[in-house]
Amino acid sequence: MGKKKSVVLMTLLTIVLIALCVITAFPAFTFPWSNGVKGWQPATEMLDLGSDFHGGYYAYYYPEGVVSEAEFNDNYENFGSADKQEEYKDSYVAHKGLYLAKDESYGIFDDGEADGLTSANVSEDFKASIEAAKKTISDRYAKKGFSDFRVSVVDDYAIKIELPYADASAATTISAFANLGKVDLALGETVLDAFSDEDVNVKEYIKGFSIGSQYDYSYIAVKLTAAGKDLIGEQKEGLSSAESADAATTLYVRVGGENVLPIYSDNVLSDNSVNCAYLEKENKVQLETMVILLNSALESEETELSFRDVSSEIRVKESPYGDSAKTLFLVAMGIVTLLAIALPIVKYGRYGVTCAYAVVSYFVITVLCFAFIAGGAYFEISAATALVYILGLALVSVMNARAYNAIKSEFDLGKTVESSVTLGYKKTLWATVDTYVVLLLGAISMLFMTGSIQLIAWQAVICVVAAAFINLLWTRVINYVHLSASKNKYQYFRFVREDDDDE
Amino acid sequence: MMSKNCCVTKAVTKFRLWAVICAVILIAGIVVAAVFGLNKTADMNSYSVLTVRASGVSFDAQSEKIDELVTAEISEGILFKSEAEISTAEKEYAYYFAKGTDLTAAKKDVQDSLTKAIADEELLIVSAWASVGEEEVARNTPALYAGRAVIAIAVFTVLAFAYTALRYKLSGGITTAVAVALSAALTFALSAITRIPVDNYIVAVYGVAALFAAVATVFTLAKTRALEKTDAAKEMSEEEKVQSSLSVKSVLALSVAMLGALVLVLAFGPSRLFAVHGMIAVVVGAFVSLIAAPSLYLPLKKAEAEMKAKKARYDYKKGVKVAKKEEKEEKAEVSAENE
Repeated sequence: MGKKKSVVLMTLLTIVLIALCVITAFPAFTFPWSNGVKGWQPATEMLDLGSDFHGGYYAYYYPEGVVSEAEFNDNYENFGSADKQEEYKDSYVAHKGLYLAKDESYGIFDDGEADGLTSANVSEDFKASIEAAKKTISDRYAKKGFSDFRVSVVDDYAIKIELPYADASAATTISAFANLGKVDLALGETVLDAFSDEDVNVKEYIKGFSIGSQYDYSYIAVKLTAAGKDLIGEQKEGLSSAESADAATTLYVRVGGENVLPIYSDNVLSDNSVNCAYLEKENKVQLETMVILLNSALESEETELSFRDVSSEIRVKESPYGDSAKTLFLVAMGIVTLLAIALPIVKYGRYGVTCAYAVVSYFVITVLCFAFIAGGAYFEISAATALVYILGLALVSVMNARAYNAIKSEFDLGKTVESSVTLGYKKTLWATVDTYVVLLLGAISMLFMTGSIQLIAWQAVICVVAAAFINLLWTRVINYVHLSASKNKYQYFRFVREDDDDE
Repeated sequence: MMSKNCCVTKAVTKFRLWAVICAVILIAGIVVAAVFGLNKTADMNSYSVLTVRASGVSFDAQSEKIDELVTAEISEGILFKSEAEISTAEKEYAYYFAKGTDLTAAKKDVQDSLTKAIADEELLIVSAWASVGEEEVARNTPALYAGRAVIAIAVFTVLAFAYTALRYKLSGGITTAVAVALSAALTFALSAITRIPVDNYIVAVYGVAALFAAVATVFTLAKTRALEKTDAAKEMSEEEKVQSSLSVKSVLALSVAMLGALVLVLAFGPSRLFAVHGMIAVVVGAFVSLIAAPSLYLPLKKAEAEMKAKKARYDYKKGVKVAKKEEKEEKAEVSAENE
């Protein structure tokens, strides 16, 4: 390539790279005016950060008749008279940090009137219900695929849920998964006859629920048995359409008496199968929550236990490392990246500038991928992400160093600079390919995992593919352009030779 | 053409020593993990908890004051604490203790202190109630990972073996597979033995150890192959070839880069325990790829060279036999024709 063309191309490359760096990492700011564009946010601001940085959510599931000590004390204080306070106090039994209602309608005690009632008299049925509920709820959260979650039993009779911050619909998930009821179908507010019998086996009509997709939408497919399709067929004519929805003529799939899934006439296909709850693909996670709840309700044993409404009592937990954790973390990664840019320039001179371009390109590609890839997963950045990013960064630098050494060894044998470059890259090609293939196989193997490790595996795949592209192709292109534009090819590589017989 | 790094190159010849050391560490780690389990952190444990729910908290200063009052009454034993917002004016403060800690007295002291502070208008909030209880973990993310982690490492071992065996013969495949599995296993063993608390990301650390060891082992295999294509290799023994092929500089450069970055994560970032375990993983990966795996590769290469030599001898003898047989048959034909 001619020198002028090389200089032009190098200038263009530099401008593009600088522009991408600005898009990726230039600090956010707001404009003084309020109309139109309000400000600027780099891609780094769009990174979803895990619970290490942002804390998370937690909530308690209290069964009906169970209250926390704080709630008990608040209610007690709110009674005006000492008599009413005494009456209220007598209607509960203290158990660790909870108060259990004596009223038999809650099913906590078999005989609420008995003298000297203590928490040791809690009925075995209630204990068994808590145990079953614990398993059901744990399974639901496990299936949701959170990067990080925790289900614990508090004081034997309440359940605590902890979720990471990145789930934008955490409140919906927490509220939905508290529902322990069974599945039925209702037209408006009236349960269909087929489901009115307490002993009905719902699976005779509904096999399960799954998520489907069509164009830019996702939906819930209700998998019906033949009997279920007949049932839907009977109801089809009287249903309202989605456009002119009327609660009284809408068929609902309910869980525990709560409407979860509306079915309109346009959701019923010609063979009486049902596809409903259409949402844009980016909102697919909401459908996932509903499907998990519905399938779980279909599989679980029937229970008398129900939890109180939790939607107003969801706690937002701060990061254990404070608000500055994110900034400090990004600063640390920035320092690492700057070192990876600066060290090759110090060691290799102008070839080091090529390596610096490679490192910057790797930084831009990985950050943009982390910021904009969603695909239904919670693409959170964590400390483990930093490690895979640094592994890729270190490999880019080490492979460039190995290429330099191979080029130098060819040059020391007496070859020209251009031949040395060609042969040096050829010598290191397959070793580089093998390294990245093995890494990619490792990252793909980790995709078998769930939750946060699967997430880290995807991030590792991105880092490996980006590093491979940089080392196998991009660095060589940049090197070719820079070398073509260089006045002194020996100086470019800091090679020293007194005379060159080949030229 | 011996490498200048004599300690490392000499270490490569001591396969039995490294095998024994690795076996001792692995057995010790498995025994400790079986008896005591891993030392788990917050997410993975059960606790006794003292909770304070405060209403009417609208300034950070009030939040700090509540925390001061609580911690003044609890002299020791807090493992960690958290602060959460229930609504714009309601907050919950939780203080976690080892499971089974008796917090009855602490609760009374904290409640009395908060009630007095509210009465004296030292704390300008509506109410604050302290309660104690126990949290028993039912399910968390790490519990889901154990089985799948083993499967993932096993799959990686098989895939790495298959690819490197194709590229670098069976000896290369076995060496890479052992490097992958050994690095993950040693990292696990050291996590158990050192009793450094493990958190949710410990499985990712094992994966990084395996990846690092695999990459570094491939460096050595590639260098060995490149060396074997040179004329100088004809004069070298298998031992010298392997010793010369150790990519000490590259592996050390990679290790230093990752350790440096982990130091920064330790200093500035969250999940400091992860950074510590990450350092163990990097050191283990470097040890396995520079010492343990090459010390296994050497006898495998020698065995391969011996088998190759035997096969060459067998092929030569077979060739001689076939040639003799053909010569005999020719002679027989000629004499038959003459007759």
